[in-house]
Amino acid sequence: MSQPAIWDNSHDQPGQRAPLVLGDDSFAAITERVASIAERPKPPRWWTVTFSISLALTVVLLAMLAYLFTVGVGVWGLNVPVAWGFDITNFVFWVGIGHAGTLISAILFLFRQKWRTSINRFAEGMTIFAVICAGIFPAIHTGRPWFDYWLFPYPNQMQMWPNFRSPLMWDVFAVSTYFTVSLMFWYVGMIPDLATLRDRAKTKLRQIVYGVLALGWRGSARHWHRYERVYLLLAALATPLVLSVHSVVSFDFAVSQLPGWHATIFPPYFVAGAIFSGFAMVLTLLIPIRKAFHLEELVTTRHLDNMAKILLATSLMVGYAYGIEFFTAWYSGNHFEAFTFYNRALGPYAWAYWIMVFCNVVVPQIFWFKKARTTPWILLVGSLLVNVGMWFERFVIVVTTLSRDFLPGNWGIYKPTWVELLTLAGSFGLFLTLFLLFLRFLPMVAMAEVKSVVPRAGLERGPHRGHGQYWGEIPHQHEEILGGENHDRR
Amino acid sequence: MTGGELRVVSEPKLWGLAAEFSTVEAFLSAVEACRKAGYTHFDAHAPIPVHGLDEAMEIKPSRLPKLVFLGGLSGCALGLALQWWTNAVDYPFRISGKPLFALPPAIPVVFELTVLLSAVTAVIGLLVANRQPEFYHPLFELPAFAKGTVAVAQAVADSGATSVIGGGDSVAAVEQAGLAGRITHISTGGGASLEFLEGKELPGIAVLANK
Amino acid sequence: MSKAYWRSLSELEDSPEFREKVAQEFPLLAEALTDPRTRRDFLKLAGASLGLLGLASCRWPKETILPFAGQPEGRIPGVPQYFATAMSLFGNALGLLVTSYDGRPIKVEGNPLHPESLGATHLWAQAAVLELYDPDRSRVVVERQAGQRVVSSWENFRQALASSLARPQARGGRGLWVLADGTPSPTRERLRQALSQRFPQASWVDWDPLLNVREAEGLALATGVRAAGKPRLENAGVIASFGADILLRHPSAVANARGFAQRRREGKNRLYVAEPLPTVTGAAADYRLAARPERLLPLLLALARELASSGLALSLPLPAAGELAPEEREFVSRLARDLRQAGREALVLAGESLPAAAHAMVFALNRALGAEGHTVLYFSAPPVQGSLAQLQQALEAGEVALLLILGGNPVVTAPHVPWSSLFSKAEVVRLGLFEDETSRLSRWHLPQAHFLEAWGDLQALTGEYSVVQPLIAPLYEGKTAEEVLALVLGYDSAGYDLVRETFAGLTGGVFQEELWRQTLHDGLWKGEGASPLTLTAKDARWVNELGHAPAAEGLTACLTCDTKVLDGRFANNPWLQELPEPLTKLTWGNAALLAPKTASQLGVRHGELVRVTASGKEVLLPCFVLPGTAENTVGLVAGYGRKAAGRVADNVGVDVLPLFGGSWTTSVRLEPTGKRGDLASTQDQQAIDRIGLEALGHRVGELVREVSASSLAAGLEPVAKGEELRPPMPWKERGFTGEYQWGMVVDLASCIGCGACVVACQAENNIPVVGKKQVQKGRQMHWIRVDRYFAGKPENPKFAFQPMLCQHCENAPCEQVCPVAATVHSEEGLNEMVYNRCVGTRYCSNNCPYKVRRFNFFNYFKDVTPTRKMQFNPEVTVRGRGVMEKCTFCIQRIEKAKIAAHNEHRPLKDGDVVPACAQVCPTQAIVFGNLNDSSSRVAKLFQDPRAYGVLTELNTRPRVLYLAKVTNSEEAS
Repeated sequence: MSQPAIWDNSHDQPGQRAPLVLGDDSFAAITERVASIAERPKPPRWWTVTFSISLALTVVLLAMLAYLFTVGVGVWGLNVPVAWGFDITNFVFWVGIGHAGTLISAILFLFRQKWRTSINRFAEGMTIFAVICAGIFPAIHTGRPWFDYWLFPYPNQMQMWPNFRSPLMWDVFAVSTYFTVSLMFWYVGMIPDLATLRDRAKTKLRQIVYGVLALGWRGSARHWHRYERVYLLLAALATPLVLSVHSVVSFDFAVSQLPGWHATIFPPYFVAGAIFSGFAMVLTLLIPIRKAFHLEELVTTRHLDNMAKILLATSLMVGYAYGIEFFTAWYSGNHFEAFTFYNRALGPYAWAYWIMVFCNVVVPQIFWFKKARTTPWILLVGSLLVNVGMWFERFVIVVTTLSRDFLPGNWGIYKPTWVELLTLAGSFGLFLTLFLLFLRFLPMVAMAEVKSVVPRAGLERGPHRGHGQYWGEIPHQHEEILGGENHDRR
Repeated sequence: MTGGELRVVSEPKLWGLAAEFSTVEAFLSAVEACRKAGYTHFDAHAPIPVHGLDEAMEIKPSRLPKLVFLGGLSGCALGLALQWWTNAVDYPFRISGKPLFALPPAIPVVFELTVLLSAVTAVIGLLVANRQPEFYHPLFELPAFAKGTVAVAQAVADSGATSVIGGGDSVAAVEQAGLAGRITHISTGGGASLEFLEGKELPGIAVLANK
Repeated sequence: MSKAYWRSLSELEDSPEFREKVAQEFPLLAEALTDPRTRRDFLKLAGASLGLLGLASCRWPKETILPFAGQPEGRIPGVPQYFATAMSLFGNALGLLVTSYDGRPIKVEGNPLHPESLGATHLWAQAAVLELYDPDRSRVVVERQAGQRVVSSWENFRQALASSLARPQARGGRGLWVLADGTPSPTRERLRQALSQRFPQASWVDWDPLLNVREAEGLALATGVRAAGKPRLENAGVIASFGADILLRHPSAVANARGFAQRRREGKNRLYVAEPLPTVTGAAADYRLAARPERLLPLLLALARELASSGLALSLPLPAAGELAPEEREFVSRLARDLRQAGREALVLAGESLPAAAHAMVFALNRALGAEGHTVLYFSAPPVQGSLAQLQQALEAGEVALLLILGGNPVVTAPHVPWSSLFSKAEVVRLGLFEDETSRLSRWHLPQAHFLEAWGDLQALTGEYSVVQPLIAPLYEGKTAEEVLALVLGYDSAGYDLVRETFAGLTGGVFQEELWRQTLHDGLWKGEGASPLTLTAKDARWVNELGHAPAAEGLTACLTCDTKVLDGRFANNPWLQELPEPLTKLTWGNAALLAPKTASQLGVRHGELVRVTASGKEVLLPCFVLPGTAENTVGLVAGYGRKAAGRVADNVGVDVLPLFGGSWTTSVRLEPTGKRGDLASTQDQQAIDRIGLEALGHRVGELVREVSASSLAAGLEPVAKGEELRPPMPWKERGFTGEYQWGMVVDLASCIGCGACVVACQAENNIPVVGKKQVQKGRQMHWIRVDRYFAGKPENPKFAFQPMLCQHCENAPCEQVCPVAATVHSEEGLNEMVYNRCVGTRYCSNNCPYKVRRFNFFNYFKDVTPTRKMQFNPEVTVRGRGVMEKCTFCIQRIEKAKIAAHNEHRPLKDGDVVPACAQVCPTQAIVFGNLNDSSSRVAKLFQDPRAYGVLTELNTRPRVLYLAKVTNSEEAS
């Protein structure tokens, strides 16, 4: 494939569907491109470097946890009134990140957005790892982590049960369910590709490992039949889940009594924020990797363009939420409520608030411009800033609210300690470590799915696969494609 | 467009017969033909789901969705029962002056359990129905099968689909050299083969069919 | 058997060589060696003690310790017993009842029969029990030769004493000096007289910075009699205080507070305070004038002139008062008018920092107003001998052969005397609780017995005689001052016998066992009761001393002793170190207090490190901008910066005394350093920004409600009118099935913010001390937080205190968010915290609108010493790391009362259950009881028009209601 970067498939022309895969879109080529990445005997240099860095950070995380468990949660900067700080901020942040994956694979699947196929595997992987990172924080933030299992309803000799009125219990169920379902969705989607890797495997080890993972998949028509049903079902199940998880997380705050937490707008506000941050993270990871692995033909400019549009849309949503919060605070006529937001914008933590506003509302406005949407480096910077902004959004919600609530007599200030900072860094280390391993050893693009959407597949995957019946041979040359010859022959 | 060629699997025991097709039409029509011939015990394999194959093979719609629905129902029931029994019956407490059990606070857990059990049912159902994991299958012995996928990968040819007819007392079938030859014709997917199939009936095949 | 054990250990401990070796080799082990007995041995001892106590619990001679074989009469293991004793502070006695648990004193309460206590105590009495168990207390006799510290023994000291007494003995006691701490102990007085008979030439000096000697001198000036006034605030309608902190730092503070609150609740008194630095008294004032220290005298004089001109029979040649500032004039004229109207209900008081003449003037005013005998009684002041100056001269002249220092810590409290050089000129023997700064300069250090572990006696200002009764055998080999005096006098008798002798003497020669036991039981013996003195005014030459007050220019430093560690004697007491100072809310250290205006003029920021210089000496300390401080005044707090107090106090805060050279004020220079100071305050740790202050301004009025005395008299509208205490709920409510429904009322009219409740709660509930760093992080563990609010102009603000504790909301927000149901509600309406179920998500704290929950971020009891453990209340869990805790309404006391009532087959009656905070409160601001019993005080107060709840709009339905503050200024109405 000669310099694919020049192909811009991000524009639409009436009555014509732009191709989702550029260059040689033959099955063989697609498989080759994807599978070869996982089959390299030696990883590329940049991989080794980044991997060792993230591994080091993961070790730091473990060290911080060891310190935390031995000495006590006091090693963090928490206090009364601010009894939650980085811990819950990071939790919500990571759960938010974990939303893009399932959203992309499930919701876009149901909406028949074919362009998803190039990125969904990758996004789902990200989801799994983000949720793993998220799960760590509620588990370690407790004063006596060794009793965390008390949060699970299991019959015990103490004859005690958890309190299901507590939003934290809802969290336990929401997050664990979300993780399980996302994992299954991810794995089921990967089985055919694993089979491909198995068949291509050269070494005994790979044959065994992929063989086991592929569960003996052989592409039988009967299997495919059920497989498709189940995939559709999982997508249908995962979709409400995506919306539910962050709604439940938002209940941690919305169900409380604090001004600034106790708000009915929180569930949609959080879900929008989650999608926002999730897509930002996908872009942040995708853009460099696409370059590094030369996947520009699978993950095309059009994909970036679409995701940038989603960023813009969700940014407007969170922006609206920020605004409406102030409005309701003022409109409620409750001076506690009003002060809380006044304090967010002008109080001791105003800096955090304005970082949030800048990154989440101001920056994404550049995506009104196609140039910004289709220029990878601008997108990368933009999405990075959005990640920062979304972290600060959670910080503002958690810390600023707690530091000044009803009685001025108990107002306080929270300063994170180096332990908290390193723990946050460590969680990124863990996330990247898992992610890089995924890139190294698993098919990062859903080959089977991509094949089924390229014209020359000449095959349709059943009604839910939507429009575009490609029959027989189609011209191959990109000139023709770009020349606008309608290859969507019916 | 190269023709498919016949291969005899793992002498001396014959498990089945396989043919490879180059185009979807050929593939589908061959499958169609087999079905029309009354073969029930055959399968078609493709690296990606082939549209129309279900109809061609007359695969009955899967019962999985119903199963999943049941799974969801039980999850829902479990969620309600769990919360009601633990908080209102077995371990009741006066908490924030709230009722021991109420629906609204129970909804999130009920919902999550519903989804969880449905999803688990779906996946387990899939594996059970597909009899997976199944780490050995005679098909894997077939170089062409491996090639099928490998070929796909190695960019040798276009879409490859392998159709296997067979199973059962294959030894008898193999005696029929002619049959073998004809199968080659089938594999080329010419109309002649179809006629042939319509017209004649071969004992070996019949045996298979009755199975 | 146990006897043998003790002997062996004591022998071991007593061999100096061994101790030295250990001390040199392993200092820590040396500590451990002298550390207290194990609990088991301890119980033997305790049992033995009680074995001999019998009903009236007398102290037993140590020699006859018995093993705890037979159960002593009236003693049930695990059931606490209460013994009466007394404590001396500010030269007065405070009657106490001490809870003893299996022989360990664990909690101090007030003695209702005692006139100075009336059942309540000040915070120092609460903290005394921790002082007893202070691991830093000195344990052994120590001799210092040429700077060498040698662990010695009482035997060695006895011999040394004999030899060093030889010379004075020969010369009729010449060269024998005693420096005592002015404890009003009859036994000590008896021994002092015995001493002056045995050694006619011997000299005795009493020195205690907390003694209000100037009042006695003033009355001596005016009447020729050294007398002390005993205010009767329960009779006072109009009170004028010139720099006197009568509600906290006063010989009769507890009784004063009670009397003041009684009338304040009905709006029947008005308090005028002129003071340089805010005090709790000033905070309670209706009219407060922030006056520079130099202005107090002219103000008093102006008042006198005003009164005289208004026709008050004040036959004094009053000098001119000089020019008054407008606000001063207004203050004085209004005060004069009110005092005249009040007549015999008027009361004028002057602070210890004012000169004797001022006190004389105060006496004259009170007499002229007819207050004497009604709002103030005069009794003969506790016998205070000599003065430091005399001792200093004698030492300089080398006339002192043997100096006996009984208690006190002059090296710290009187730094203007060059002790280190002077001590070298005499043989100094020092008896002290701690081997502190004074001991380190002395030849001999003798371990002093704590008043909770030794016999003694005290006489209240009003004449009541109390026996200081030990609750435990001395933990170490300590002796009381009286026992040491006995040593000097040669008759080596135990404190027990000394006191009994005194008692025999007081009760008419022959010892009456019955009366003695009765006295021990009641905690006091009224005797014929010292009747108030009838004084006759002498010539008024003293008036002239009032005339020439120094003109006030520049910056004046104003010295005040800390409201927690006082002059530093309690510095090593962690409870007091961590107790938030009532007004600054500072813990663990002191600061330079500045008025906002002055601070901005000097260009100093709140919390900035400042350099204060006076007469060549300088100190560096953080600045605290405190509204209500007089302008151009620097408030400097004594009692900190100790160097040899112990592991708690050493290098906490800054010692400011050297700046003053013995006086109360001095003119200083103050410049900012730009560095951040190291303040740890429990409120507004960070200086609050503008928007914060505005919000605060909005809220205070809603949180701390006020009603005016006039509206109270006119029949008050309920302050919570139109507010629903119990908004309806969207579901069917479950009623409470408990027989008792607990509730509490906190009367903000009575609360003076002293913080005694905080310490009492800490003592009762095993609340950990977290230390300065943790307080700075905002992790103090007090279950009661006394919120302090300012309102109005920063130059002259109004102060408000609001004790904030768990409100035991019926709809407690904390409960529903706990995932493991670790905090749930009882049928009696208590919000219960189940420590061992808590996993520590801290969600409950976040969702608590009052933020009264406290979290164990660490295991704060990790390195608690064995002695410290002895104080723990066995009925309260000692919380570990990672669990939430909070006020329980002293559920252990509720249950104990229930059991008692159950055993007597009766229901609980009002007053059976008293939480620690309510019991200690000097003003009875806290009332606790059963809301189901409509006749209970708390149930009645719930209906009081002043009653309101905090944040009831959240439908939390708190079980703690507040009674609106009562103000009695003419503006308020």
